[in-house]
Amino acid sequence: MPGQTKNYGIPYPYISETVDAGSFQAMSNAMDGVFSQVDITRQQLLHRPSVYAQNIQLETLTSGTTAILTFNNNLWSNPPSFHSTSTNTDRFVVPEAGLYLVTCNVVDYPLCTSTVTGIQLNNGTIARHSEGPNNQLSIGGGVGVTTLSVAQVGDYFSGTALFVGTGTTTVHVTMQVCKMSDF
Amino acid sequence: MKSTFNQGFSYPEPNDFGNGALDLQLLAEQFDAKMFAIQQGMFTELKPPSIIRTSSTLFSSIPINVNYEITSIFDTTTYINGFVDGTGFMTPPGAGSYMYGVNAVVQCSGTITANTFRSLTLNVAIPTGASLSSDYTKVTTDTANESGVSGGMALNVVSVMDIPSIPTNPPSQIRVFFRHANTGSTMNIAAGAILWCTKISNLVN
Repeated sequence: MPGQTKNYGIPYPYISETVDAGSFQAMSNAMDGVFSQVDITRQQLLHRPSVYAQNIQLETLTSGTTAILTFNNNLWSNPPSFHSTSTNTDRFVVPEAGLYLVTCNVVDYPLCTSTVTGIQLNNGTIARHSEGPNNQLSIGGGVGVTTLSVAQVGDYFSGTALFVGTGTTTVHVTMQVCKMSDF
Repeated sequence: MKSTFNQGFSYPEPNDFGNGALDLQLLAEQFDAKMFAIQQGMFTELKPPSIIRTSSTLFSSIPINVNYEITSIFDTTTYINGFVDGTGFMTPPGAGSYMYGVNAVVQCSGTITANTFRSLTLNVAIPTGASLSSDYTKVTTDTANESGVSGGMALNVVSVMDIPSIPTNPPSQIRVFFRHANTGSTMNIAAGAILWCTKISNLVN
């Protein structure tokens, strides 16, 4: 029986054993496996799950009603299942447990009394950002909100928008979610 | 014995192959130790120091026209890794570049009148000198007018701060200050306020 290293179990022949081609083959195969294993960790570090989605059409809001935003175009999604542009387009489904940085941006709010952009986790609001009257501006405003949140596999983030003014309005929306840390 | 240029892996010279088994063992152990160190370092980078604190109860009656630090508001630790625990402020575990943020909904219990807008400013501060109470650097602020906002004014600040070193007395701390100029009513901070911070990079000269 050969010996083996303490961390990865790479086999090596004992001093009394004959070194032959099989010794090198066993060690090379083990090193190959270790390298692949470490490379997976490297990929996890360099390619954290992240998504950047937008709605390439205007989203309609009704005054006084908080809207769950939908996103019909992914500028980036890793993995693709993080955000679907065809099913539950309002949901950003967490692929791995961890801490996630989440940002939702709503631009072109109308001239109105107040605006609120929010982030939800599993339909519960976890962060909001509001602005008061923007009716002294020549155009409407934009409001973004960012937070850090714990999330488990299958949890989902959503973005919300509210304006208090008159009638209905249309806005542009984007949302970004990026994993920042393992537990 | 010679060794490779970058990682120092040993190998026998052409005329020194009399103990192949021992040489292979040495190489295997060197490779094992090097890869283990690399992987452990990456595992550490996958879990950077981070903290999330939230408030579980409403805080009422913020004093007017002062930078007011509420050290008891963030009373619940939702997640912590590497930070020193506390209720109102956070001490980063070492030098680095940190991203942090605050979300807080401020509610008003009085009448809101046009042209008498109320405002509240929220600062995230890192002390720079000997006095934690007064000697600090304001690094980010969110100010909003409350008039017309129903259900409270939701403030949100996010910023990045490079901390080159952590002095021991006092240590650098990320702190939150509230301020308002509302003479006509009471200002409260709703339960559910969030204070968070995560290390995003080491600092390399």
